[in-house]
Amino acid sequence: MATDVMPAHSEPARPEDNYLTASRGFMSWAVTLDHKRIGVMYLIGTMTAMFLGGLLALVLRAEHLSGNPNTLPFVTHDVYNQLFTLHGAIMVFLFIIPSIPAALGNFILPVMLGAKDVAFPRMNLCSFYLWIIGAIFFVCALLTTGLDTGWTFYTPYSTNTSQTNVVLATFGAFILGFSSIFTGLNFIVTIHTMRPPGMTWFRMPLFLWSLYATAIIQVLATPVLGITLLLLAAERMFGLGIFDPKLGGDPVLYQHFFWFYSHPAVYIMILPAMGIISELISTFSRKPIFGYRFIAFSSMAIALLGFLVWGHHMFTSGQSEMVTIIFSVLTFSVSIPSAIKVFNWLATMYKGSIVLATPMCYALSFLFLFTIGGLTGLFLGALATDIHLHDTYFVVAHFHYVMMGGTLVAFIGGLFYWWPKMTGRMYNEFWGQISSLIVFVAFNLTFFPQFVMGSRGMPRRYYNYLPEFQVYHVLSTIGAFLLGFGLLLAAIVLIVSLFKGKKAPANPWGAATLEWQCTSPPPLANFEKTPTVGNPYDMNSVVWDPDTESFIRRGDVPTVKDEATPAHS
Amino acid sequence: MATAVEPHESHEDGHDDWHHQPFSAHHFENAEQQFDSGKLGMWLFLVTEILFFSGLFCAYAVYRSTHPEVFIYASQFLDKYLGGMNTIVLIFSSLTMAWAVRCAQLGQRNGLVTLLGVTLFCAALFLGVKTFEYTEKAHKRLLWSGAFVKATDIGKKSQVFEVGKPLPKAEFEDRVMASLETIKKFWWFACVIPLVLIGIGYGSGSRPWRTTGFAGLISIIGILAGIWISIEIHHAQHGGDHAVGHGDSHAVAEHEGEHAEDGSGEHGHDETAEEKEAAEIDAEALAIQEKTGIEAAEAPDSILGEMNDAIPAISTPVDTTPDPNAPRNANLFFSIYYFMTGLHAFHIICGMIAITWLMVRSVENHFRPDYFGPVDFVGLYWHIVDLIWIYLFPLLYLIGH
Repeated sequence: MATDVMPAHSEPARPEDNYLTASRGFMSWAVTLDHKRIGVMYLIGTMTAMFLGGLLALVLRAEHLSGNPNTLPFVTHDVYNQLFTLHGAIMVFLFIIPSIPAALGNFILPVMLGAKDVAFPRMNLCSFYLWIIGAIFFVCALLTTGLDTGWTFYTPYSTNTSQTNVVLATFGAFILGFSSIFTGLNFIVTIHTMRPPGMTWFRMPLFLWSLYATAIIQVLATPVLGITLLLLAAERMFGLGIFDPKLGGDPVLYQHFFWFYSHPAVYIMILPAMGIISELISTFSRKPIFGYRFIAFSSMAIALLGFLVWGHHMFTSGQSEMVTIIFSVLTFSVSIPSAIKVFNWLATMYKGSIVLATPMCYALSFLFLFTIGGLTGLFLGALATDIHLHDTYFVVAHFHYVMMGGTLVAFIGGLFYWWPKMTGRMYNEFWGQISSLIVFVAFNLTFFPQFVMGSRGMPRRYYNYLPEFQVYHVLSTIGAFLLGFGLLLAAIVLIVSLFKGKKAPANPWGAATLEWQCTSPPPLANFEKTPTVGNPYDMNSVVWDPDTESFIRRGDVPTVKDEATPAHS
Repeated sequence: MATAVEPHESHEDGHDDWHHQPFSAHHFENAEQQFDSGKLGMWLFLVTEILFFSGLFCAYAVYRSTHPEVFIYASQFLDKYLGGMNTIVLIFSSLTMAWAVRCAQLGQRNGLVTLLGVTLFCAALFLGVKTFEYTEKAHKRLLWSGAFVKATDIGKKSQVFEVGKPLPKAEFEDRVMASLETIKKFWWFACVIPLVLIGIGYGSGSRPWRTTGFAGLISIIGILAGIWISIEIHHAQHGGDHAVGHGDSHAVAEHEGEHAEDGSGEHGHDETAEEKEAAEIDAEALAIQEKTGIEAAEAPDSILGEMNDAIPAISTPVDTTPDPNAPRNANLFFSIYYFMTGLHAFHIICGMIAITWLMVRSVENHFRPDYFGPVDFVGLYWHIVDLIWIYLFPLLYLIGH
């Protein structure tokens, strides 16, 4: 089977043509059906959103530099509410959810799979434009009245009290939900129907498994958010009554609906990051991934369990004790598949020849930060401690460790990893490593003090604080600006590489997955030569070739045996 | 779906035949892969649709269990005959849709176009009935909870839609009749746009325009037919064959009879209270019936005005004749009713657009036994829309009896 070939592809007109140069002009991008170009457009879009959300975060942190509420004269308590709301909403809906699946996944998934494109290219483009429209809605909300409900839009504040443009923002989130559904639907169908001969389920790289699990959540959970937001908009505009206790409704029902989506959405954010880490750890340890099937199945387990734990956001909402106990137990059970992954990554590194390239530096940061984020999640999942920690900075620190320390760091690692493939340029390795070091240190400086002050009672979403919290807030603010600098440095390293970088070889890292078999950047139809589907983690199948400064496949005939299991056999 | 065509590619892999067909997408290996992808994609989309509605069914279940009296009381104001007719219409349209898929598979173009037309007509008929139901309910002030509340009273700055004070009875009647009369007078006006399309189609020799025009005409005739049939059913039901029938007596009497023979009560919990309540409602209704019956004999009153008497305060706490038996927050039922049926109606409209698109393509003879995916996929969508209605109908219309 390993020698099975993909059916031939069309050759591009000229051998030097790739997806970037195959056609030119604005329209060739605006109406492109090429998953790679759509991925790049998504990348630019989500990066812009992250920049915007990051700026808002820095203003928030600057406000906390002194205990004086007028640190920044323009940040009144209302403005502060709007800042953290928009920071959260932009980061969640516009950046984290689409970042890895829609930007990196769109680019990498078909190439990794050995397919020419995703199953529905037009739906893919449509998804991108829905993202743009959703973003425009958010920007309109930002420019008109702002938004001060928190990214969770809790009722009845969002329906009755808030004077800001909630409807605009909920429609934005509704549209972004469809963008997310279209991406997920496309990925599921692509993985099911477009695997080339030889690409069995268990020869799929783990990044694809994680994208598949993510896509399942996107397809199953996002529609519930859609209907919830419609109900919210109807409640606000017409007084539907479903969430309004004065009209017989129940505001807590809104929380159930919202978290039924938004808890699984947390796994939309973290699962693809875990997939990237599986690739990075294996490649840069020069070792096959340890426990392939366990990692693959743990992704699916997380996807399924993620649907059963939404109530842990509502321990203090007055739901019955029996329910809270069940949700608490289920919450603890999610830590099992997560821990399986972490231990397997550690086992992969054990006795490996670890190369501390920039992506690996980010992957190691991920391991450290995600583990802290995951373990502090258990504090919050435990009923007794949650009563104390609920709505404090402890929660803020916890989910930033998971979402930023986990997802964002993995995303940047993945971006550095696939950057040569996407752009055809190598970046400056030294400054890349420096950026990862700064991000790692600054991240901990920002968020670790928040654990401390949270556990001592500093509530979240307050624009002012007692003097005893000042030292932590100052540390956190210094860290935040350093963190912003580190991320900026990473961006500069990447952007400079576009102009000054060396031309990237096909396989600079020595990975065995399919995307490294095509040229960098890939041709329009992804592969000039038919890729050979083998074990995605057989690092012995590629050797360093000093002539081309690239890894090449060992000989013409792949060394993988027919029944080779992709795991650590 | 997935019919992107980039015909510039050359293939040496033996798939040339397939790749050169007009609707083959370049990134698939063969027709089977393209069809399978589309089908799986459509099924996944249907899953998202079910989950989309699941939130509403969930809300329904929650409020049905926390406010059972609201559902039992308010559901009687829905017309189960109209709902039943719509159910039959939709089930029939599912049959014609499935048959259309078969025609596409067999390459029977004329059958395909005809059956798609029938399906479209049924969809429009459904919408027509729904139009009547919404109009009638709106005029009877059977609206969602917040419609009668001043936004400022519930802490809001403003609200898009506020009914405010109810109108006097006579004015209700005027409004209903006026809207129905308007439709009667100007029904032909609605046909102008499709007729223009047909005209453009013939003028420019463009078949797609013409087909779109005909599809539009079918839709509009269907909607009008739906409204007309609903009016007839409504009159037949409420006695009197004159245009503005009166005498809710029949309906009320029937209501009472049902309760009498159904003494044990279908609704398990809180039986006695419900029975008592139902008895009270009936007593009240009978009293009103007697009162208005005499009035009606003297001066023919409109059914709508009269029903407004019989069903006074459900929607309007400030109404002149409040119903003491109306449970609190009775309009919560209509909140759910309008949202669920409205979202469903929106899906019907989307389906009609998709069917129109299929009609255009099938008139162009795009579908063949080896390429009929789009018909199949829209068919699946249409079945799910029907299926959702099959759940909505009993849950909303049949629970109070």
